Amino acid sequence: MPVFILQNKDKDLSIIGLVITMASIVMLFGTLISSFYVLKIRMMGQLTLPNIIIQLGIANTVILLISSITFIFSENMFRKNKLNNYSFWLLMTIFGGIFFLIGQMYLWNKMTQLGIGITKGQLSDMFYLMSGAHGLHIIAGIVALIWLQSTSKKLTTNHRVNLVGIFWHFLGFLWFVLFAVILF
Amino acid sequence: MSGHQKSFWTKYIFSTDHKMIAKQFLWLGMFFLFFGGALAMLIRWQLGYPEQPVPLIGNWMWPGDGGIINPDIYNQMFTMHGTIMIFWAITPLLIGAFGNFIIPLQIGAGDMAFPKLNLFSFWTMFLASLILLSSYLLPTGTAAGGWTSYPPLSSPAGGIPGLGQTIWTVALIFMGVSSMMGAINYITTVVRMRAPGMDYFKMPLSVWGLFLTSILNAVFVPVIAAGLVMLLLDQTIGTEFFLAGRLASGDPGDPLLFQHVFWIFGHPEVYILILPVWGIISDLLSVFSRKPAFGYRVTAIAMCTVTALSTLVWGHHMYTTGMSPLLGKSFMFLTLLISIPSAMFFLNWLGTMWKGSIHFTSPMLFSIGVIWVFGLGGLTGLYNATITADIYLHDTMFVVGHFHYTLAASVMFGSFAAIYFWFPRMFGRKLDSRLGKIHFWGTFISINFVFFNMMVLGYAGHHRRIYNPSEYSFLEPLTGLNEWISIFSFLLGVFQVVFLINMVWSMFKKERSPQNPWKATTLEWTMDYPIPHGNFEETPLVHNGPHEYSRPDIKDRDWLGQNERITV
Repeated sequence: MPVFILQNKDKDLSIIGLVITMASIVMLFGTLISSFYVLKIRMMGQLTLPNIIIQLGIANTVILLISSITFIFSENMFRKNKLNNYSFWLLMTIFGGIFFLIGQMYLWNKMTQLGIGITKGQLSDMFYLMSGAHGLHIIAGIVALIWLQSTSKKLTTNHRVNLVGIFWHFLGFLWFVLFAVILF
Repeated sequence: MSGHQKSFWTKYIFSTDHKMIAKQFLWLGMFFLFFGGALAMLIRWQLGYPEQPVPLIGNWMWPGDGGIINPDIYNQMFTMHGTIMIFWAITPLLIGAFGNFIIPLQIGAGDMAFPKLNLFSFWTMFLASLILLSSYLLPTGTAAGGWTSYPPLSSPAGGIPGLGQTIWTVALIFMGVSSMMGAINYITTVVRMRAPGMDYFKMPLSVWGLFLTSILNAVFVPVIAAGLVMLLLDQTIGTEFFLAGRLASGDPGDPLLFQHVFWIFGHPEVYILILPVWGIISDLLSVFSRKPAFGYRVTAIAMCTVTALSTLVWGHHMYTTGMSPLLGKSFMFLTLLISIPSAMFFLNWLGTMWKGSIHFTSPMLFSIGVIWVFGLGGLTGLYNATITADIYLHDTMFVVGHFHYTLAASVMFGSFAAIYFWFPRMFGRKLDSRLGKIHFWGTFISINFVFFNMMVLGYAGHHRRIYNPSEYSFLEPLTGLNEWISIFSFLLGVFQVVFLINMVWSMFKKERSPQNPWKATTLEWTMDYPIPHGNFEETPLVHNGPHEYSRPDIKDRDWLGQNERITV
């Protein structure tokens, strides 16, 4: 029988894979952000969003921030081996992610109602594109969270929790940057 | 060998074994190499014999036009030729097949870091292939905006009818996702799964090349992905990111933005394709000169330098777009700077062969071929990089000759060298060396005739995308040359059939190759064929560098494996 050799299989491999994935995601959104600025310079214009949209955006940002905080709680509970509390806070994080998505959909609807629909201008289209692409990544993040929730009984070390955590905080930070780019 | 029985499906189709996935990529790449090659022959027919019926297949393919390639079909052909050769032939062959096959074996790992991701990578690529080919079923035909697909040409507003361009965009996005999965896998494998003792500076240069390629893939494929998504939205839901002037209904977008995004990815992409070749032939020249690779560390570091510089030079594709002369000059300076590290490993290749005991086997012939064709391609790159020369040469056949020397000729020769060299590891048999020599000389002579004379055509002012050169009086003196280029390109095609016959015939011949037919030192030659799932019986311990040939302190043979200790 040949021995299947993988040193330190899970831990170090996944973290490097995740870092490279995040680097790729940074380049993807970096390109979108640069394109946003290029179009902004090209038309010498500003994306002026109505106040209600900005307020909704801030509310969504806060929801995503809270979901990051609940994740930190759940990670702490896992470390203290309080698995029930860990599951609860993880569930809260998942709800946070779903609420954020619903909030974004509501924001899109509101924008369309206010006359800034899709194809109504370059910069607002870029906003739709950036928030849409980010939303898809949030869905991937939620899937990862649900996967974590479903395997939590079998976990022996906390590194899987760490990995999903890094990705989730990264997505939160990414949204913060995107929203800042849109506003300023 | 592996102890547990596997069904046909898990062994050959949905395999997670990197060696099987490598073979899947190999056949996918070979299929598209011949497909793209056939398109090239048809393009050459139209340029050599304008608006004459294509012999043999013309009447069957285009009965409506009397067997003549019409301008629309012609545009579709060169578009698909470029797209297929770059993304569906070279990428799967070099990166998909040989990346998968040799990285784990040469660094002493049991498999890729994420075998399932590897599986998804191949099948995403397969899906992308089906999507791309499906555009042939459309009544309006495939994409026709060139492999660069600049907007507005590639948007519905730009005039190419039908869904071809949209399908092209979707297929390329899937292909990019596949590349990224591969890149994540390769980088993690190289960083974390090297056998004990395998330092970065003990890795074979092939692994170096593939490693650097993967880094560029992971960083720059997302850039084009973003650009393609924007293009897709322009094509489908009616945004106007890349439309300006009369074509834009509201605020102007920016067509040049796409060109920038495309080339920010596109220039690293040409290094994505050539870096594995540099690595592979650096190793092969050493094996067949029976000498250590000259300046091993310098070659590795020079390749890293080129990788870094390649990210800063995309503007040299856009000198004629009206960019600021100051910006153009900086791009020119950075581009010309690349010639320094390139010259370094070039010199190292010659240094490796200098006074070596050269064995002219098929892989060695192709490796030496790479030195020649890449030399010509690299040197003509300097003309294109210089703004003053480029303004004249831009979009002429000179550029076509140049990038076919660097990409088509060098990368094809590199792939052939790799196939001849690693075929005994993949299929347990050696390729026939007599047919290999016929293949090499036929390919070498005809490919040089074709691409060198394309540069001559371009120097005489022959534009790169014209349909019928006989319509322009200033191109009349070139008619004969055009015809000769076509004849030699058909010859080039014929010699590839020799290769295909060699490959299929050798796969089924009885005689097995010895375990280490080339007497090479690297780890992939240390186990019996077929290599079991998991590769190594036990983790190899690496003691030596990858090129320990002709050591004076060993008496009975001229090589020392990477996992062998000297016993004096």
